Amino acid sequence: MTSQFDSVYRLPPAASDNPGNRRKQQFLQEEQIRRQAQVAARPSNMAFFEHALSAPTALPRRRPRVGLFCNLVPPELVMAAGADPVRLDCGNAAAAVHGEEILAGDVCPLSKASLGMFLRSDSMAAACDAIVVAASCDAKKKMGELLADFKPTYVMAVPPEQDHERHAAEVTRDLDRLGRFLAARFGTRPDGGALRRAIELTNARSRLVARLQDIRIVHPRALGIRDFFTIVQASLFSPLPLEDWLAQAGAAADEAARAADERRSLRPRLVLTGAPMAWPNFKVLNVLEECGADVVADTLCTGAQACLDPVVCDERGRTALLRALAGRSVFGALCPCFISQTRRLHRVLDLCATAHARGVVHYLLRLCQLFDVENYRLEKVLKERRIPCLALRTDYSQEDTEQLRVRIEAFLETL
Amino acid sequence: MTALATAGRTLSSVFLPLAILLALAAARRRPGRLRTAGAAGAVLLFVAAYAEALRAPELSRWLYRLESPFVPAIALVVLPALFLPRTGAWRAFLLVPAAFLLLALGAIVRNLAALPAGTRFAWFLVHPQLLALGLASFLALAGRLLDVNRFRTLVRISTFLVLMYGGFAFRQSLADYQAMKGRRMTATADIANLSETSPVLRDADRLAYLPAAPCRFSADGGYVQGCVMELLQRGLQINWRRVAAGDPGEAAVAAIALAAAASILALAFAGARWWCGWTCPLSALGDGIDWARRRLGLPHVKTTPTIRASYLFSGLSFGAVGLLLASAVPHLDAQGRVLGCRIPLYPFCKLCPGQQLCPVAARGLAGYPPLPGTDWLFGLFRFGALALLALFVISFATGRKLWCRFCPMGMVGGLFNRGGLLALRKQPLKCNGCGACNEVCPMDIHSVARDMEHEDVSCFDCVYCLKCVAACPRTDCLRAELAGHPVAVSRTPHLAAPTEESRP
Repeated sequence: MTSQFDSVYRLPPAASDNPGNRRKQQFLQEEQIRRQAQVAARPSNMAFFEHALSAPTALPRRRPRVGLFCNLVPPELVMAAGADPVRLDCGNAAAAVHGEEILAGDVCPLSKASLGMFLRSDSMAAACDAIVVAASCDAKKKMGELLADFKPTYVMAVPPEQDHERHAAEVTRDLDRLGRFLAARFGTRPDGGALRRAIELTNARSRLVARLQDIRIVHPRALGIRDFFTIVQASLFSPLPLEDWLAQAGAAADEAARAADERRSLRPRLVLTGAPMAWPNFKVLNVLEECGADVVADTLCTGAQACLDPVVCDERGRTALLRALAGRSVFGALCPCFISQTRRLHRVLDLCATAHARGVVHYLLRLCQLFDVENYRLEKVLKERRIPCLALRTDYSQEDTEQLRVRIEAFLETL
Repeated sequence: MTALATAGRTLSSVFLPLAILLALAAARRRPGRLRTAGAAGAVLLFVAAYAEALRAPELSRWLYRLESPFVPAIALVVLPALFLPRTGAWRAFLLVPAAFLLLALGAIVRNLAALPAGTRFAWFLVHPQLLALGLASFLALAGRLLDVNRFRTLVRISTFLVLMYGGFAFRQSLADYQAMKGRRMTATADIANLSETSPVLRDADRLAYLPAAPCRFSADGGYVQGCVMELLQRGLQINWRRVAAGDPGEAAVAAIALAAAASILALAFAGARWWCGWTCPLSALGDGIDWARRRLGLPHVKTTPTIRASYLFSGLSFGAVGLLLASAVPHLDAQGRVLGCRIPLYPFCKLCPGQQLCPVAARGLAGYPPLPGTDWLFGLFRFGALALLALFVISFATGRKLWCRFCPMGMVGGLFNRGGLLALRKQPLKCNGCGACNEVCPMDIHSVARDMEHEDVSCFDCVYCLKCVAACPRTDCLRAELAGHPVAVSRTPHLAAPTEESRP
């Protein structure tokens, strides 16, 4: 396969190692672990997930690793090519500072932090053998070209609208190309059998996440939103073998289900929607939980939505499997990069009804225009239906934590 | 007429389940105890009126033509199995199908034991009413244990066996069986020969039809008379001038055809294209081809608007040409020609792949009807039939149920897909737009996935196979409704059944 990037203007990979910044990154992770430790009731094996998230490079290297950006890339393709998928969207505020060495200041903190990780020689990003980026926003699309200097990179095209009839064929072709890119990289054969086995594994994850979600809707305090995010992200953001994750997360789910009946909660129930929150950027969640709210459900592509929907296969052929992957990953996504925001509005309203939530928190990542623009309709629609909505626009820095706390406390008062 | 016979005939009326379903739909639309009582009253009123009508001999003969031996099975087994709330009463109801099943098996055993000494094996001799009750009971019991997809396969196979092999395997009585054997010895399969088949459900006064394409050109007549196109051709052959002139023979033929039309309309109104997705033997044969393609892991053709439009319009033209030729039949001269052309009595059937495939499915390659010569309308019945057979095989081998977009019998059922008693409904709020419903859809329907506004997503092409409902990963997103009552609902895979605790 010919590369998507011409080698004519290729640059040597940039590097920058700042021990102070490295220590700060480590501190932010430890601080988050400390804050979460104060949650009253949590599954006993949370340390397993926290370790996988905060030190992914410490995990044994079983197979080549492929870094993924964005939830629109189906990890099953990577697994079928004989590699471990690791999502690299980074939530570390300190890493964002690093990224500014390459990216302009006016790019979203997620992109800056993610790129910043590539400059560090001991990061997960640097340990990956290939990178796949979905061109879901302008920053990601162009970041792909920058990353091509570091690693073999594939930028996956994203159709403008989620019209399955019109675009399923082209997304399927693109996934086929991606599969061939990965297979050529790792010397495997792109066949249906490996893909089917990978889909079986991730579908098991979907079932488990759906179960966790259901437990949380009934008894949100049996498993707090931060712990839920930690569990889900441990399987996405680390090269943890999925079988191990399934066993541990299953145990956590059992524990939460057992604990469920003891803890009745009368705290305000909220639905969280908006931009991704990647470990350790749980700033808003920290404040929400500390202010006494229960986030009962979410639509975040780093939360339940990341692996809630299973891949529905009907046939054994590779094309059919790829089309099924496209359906789950691209056409079932709630990302604002598509033309219509109906799906996310539908989901938010549905979650409000089924999870009996009393309000919605819309998390806007500063400098992400897609969510910013969608905020107008979301607020109006929710207002029409008399559901209180709080839009929080913030970035990775910790400085506005107290302002957020004031706004959130005021919002919770109104519920 | 005895009370028992009256009850039996009321139960056999094709309008009884229709009345029940309409009453249920009305009660469902505006719930409340009074409404339910009103609906029950309306059904009782219908039963009383029907019993009263049976006392008038002339009317009674008319109504007889509208009755079907299959209907009691629907009224006594299928409707309660679908509509009774899943409580203790429902478990008690299961005794009814169990009893019917034993009754039907007992009848078969008794009939076999009662065969006179020296008679050779006569398959299963069973009255159609008992067969229908037994089959429905078996399926109602099995449906409890199976998921939608396995259950549909079971229904497909069992209805295929009855419709395809019922012609010799499920005869009514020994005399009936022997008559069939006799016909079989002397019958010559020929394009102009219509008496080559004689279905089980045929008597002097009425013909039994089913929607979809149950062909009678199978082993020794199949079980029912045929499909809606056969009926339409029959109607077009009626010489209405002779009916108007008071010809008793022609009037009887017209009356039988009209009654058959009324009952097929009732069945289509209740089931729409469900008959295609669950009972059609042609589509079951196609499923076999599709199964082979799947086993080989070959991809299938996703339809484009052009393909869909071509199939629709060529199917419509095929139906129109067949019916046009059928309408020329009353004008045949003594040599069997019209405008100097030879045309057979059932021109549509002679072109339809069903007439070529069903005999082969039932009897093996020896059953393939001899191809007509080129003297039949310039070879249309030779080459046209072969071309359609090729289209049938190619469509099923490459495009799942692509053929069914061509099938005129299915199009008639499709007219009832909206506005009939069956509906495919969706809660747009629950939908994530992943397209799983399209991925599994044998008809390649996109509108169910795309529609984010409407609740009623039934459409003309849907065959109600309910694969989409089984595949949809979102709880309560898709459901199939009969008379407003959900008969299948989508569930998130980890949930086997709706949980009561999913409420804080």
